[in-house]
Amino acid sequence: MPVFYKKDAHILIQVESDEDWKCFFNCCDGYLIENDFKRIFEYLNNDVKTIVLEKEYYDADYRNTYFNFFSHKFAKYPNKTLRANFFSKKISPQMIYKLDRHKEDYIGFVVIRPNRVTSIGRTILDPKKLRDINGYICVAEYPVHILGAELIARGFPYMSQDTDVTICAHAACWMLFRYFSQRYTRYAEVWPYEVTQLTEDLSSGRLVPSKGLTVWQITEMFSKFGFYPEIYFRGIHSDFEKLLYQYVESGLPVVAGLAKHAHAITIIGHISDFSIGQPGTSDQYLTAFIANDDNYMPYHAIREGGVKPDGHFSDFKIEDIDSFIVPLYEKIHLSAEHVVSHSEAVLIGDKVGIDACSKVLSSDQIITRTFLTSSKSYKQIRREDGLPFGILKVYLELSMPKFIWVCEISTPDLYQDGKIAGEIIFDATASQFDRLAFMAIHYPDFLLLNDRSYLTDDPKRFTVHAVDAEDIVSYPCYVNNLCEV
Amino acid sequence: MNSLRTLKMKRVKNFFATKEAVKEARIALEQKTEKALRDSVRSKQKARELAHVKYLD
Repeated sequence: MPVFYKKDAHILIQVESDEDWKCFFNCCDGYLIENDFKRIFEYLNNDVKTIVLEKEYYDADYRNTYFNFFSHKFAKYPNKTLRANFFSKKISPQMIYKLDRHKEDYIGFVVIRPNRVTSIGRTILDPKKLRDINGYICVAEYPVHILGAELIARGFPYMSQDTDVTICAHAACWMLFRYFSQRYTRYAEVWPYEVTQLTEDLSSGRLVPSKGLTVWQITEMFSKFGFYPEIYFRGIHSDFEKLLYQYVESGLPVVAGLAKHAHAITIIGHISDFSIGQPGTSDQYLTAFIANDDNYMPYHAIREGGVKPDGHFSDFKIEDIDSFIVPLYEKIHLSAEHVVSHSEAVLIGDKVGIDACSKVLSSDQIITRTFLTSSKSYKQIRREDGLPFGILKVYLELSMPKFIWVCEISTPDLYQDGKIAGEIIFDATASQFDRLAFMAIHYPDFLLLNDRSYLTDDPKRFTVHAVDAEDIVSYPCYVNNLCEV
Repeated sequence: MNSLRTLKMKRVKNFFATKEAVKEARIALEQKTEKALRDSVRSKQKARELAHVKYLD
């Protein structure tokens, strides 16, 4: 028998066959509906060897919807949930009190809600420990306590809609909010019922039970949560997919709308094929976005039409995404489309352009990657990577705003090896109409610093250095916003 | 900046010799970004209108 401590609050199930998984289903006592069991089984079957099932688990997210909504129903709904913890190794029953010795084997957890309709609640699964997941993904760490042992679940939050209180757009917003509240102390945790109440726009009817949200309402919810959001629409914003890629590459998950399917998802990462090797912009290498979509289990790929499926992929295509809402921080005034036009203008400029200032690199052979990051993280990571000619110390000493836009300059050959040859750093608090928004322009043999405290066209605002280099001195590209899986 | 003293690059003097030279460079950048920024303002207005209409369930 693979099931141990069956009558206790903590059940340990060793899963080696489909029958063992059925035992897990039976142990869930009707909390887990069959359809959701099939989804969990098909998704985790190859990776899980042991399940520790916590009965009578007090889940804050479920209890928030229970006390505000489900407790008002005539039918009986339990006020507690189950939590299924998944491990990649077979664990002996004697080890149940020493699960901290299996930290490395911990895949994550799924909260199972007694919702009757959809039962998958708060879920954190480590994409690095799931064999069919690859790409670059936003990840945060969530401490988990089982019988006194502390484990860490790494991943992006996921839950399915409960169809009563929350629908797909709420679930997409909750996932994004829960990621930010865990990763940044600035944002307070918000529970599902509270998410539904973040909009005051009642023009399309009552908030719960919900029948859907407009993009406007989602944007309002973002603002109430503490973001300064931007909205993008396909067909209205040129370079729609490029802008979406740049925000995701910046480590900013977005809520995307698929109006044709009346559906909302959270885009949390991307898959890129670096073997393409062509000059241009890094979004050319994109083959799929990675999304948490409550129609599927986490980390499903949204591919371009015609791309061969690989791993867990959604039926939705990139072309189906027709809007997205970006959760920007208060001090990010310059949007992605402004940085795109500013950096393009600088790179081809007659005076500060790459052809005018560099003898070892020309504008027709470069590939650029544009992203947003905090200056604190940028300096921290750059300290480890190093930059040539002592430029590292200049950047460390350079006074920067809290957030900066970086346009990294590379060549297709260097980019495949994760190397770059220079960058342009922009002040993210600059006005979109301020064309001298850059703080530094670095080509392989050229460095220009722009003192942002100058109000006028005084030439003293610029400090320019150059070196007679015969070849490009490359260094690693900045990798911090997303976790490579 | 202290770090500029240890920079293994030579300082280029008079890269921008006068205010007029800076102004010229700035205006060139303004011209190159003018259309993009105009489009961006227009897109924002249209997005605001459309945000009320698009319904996600």
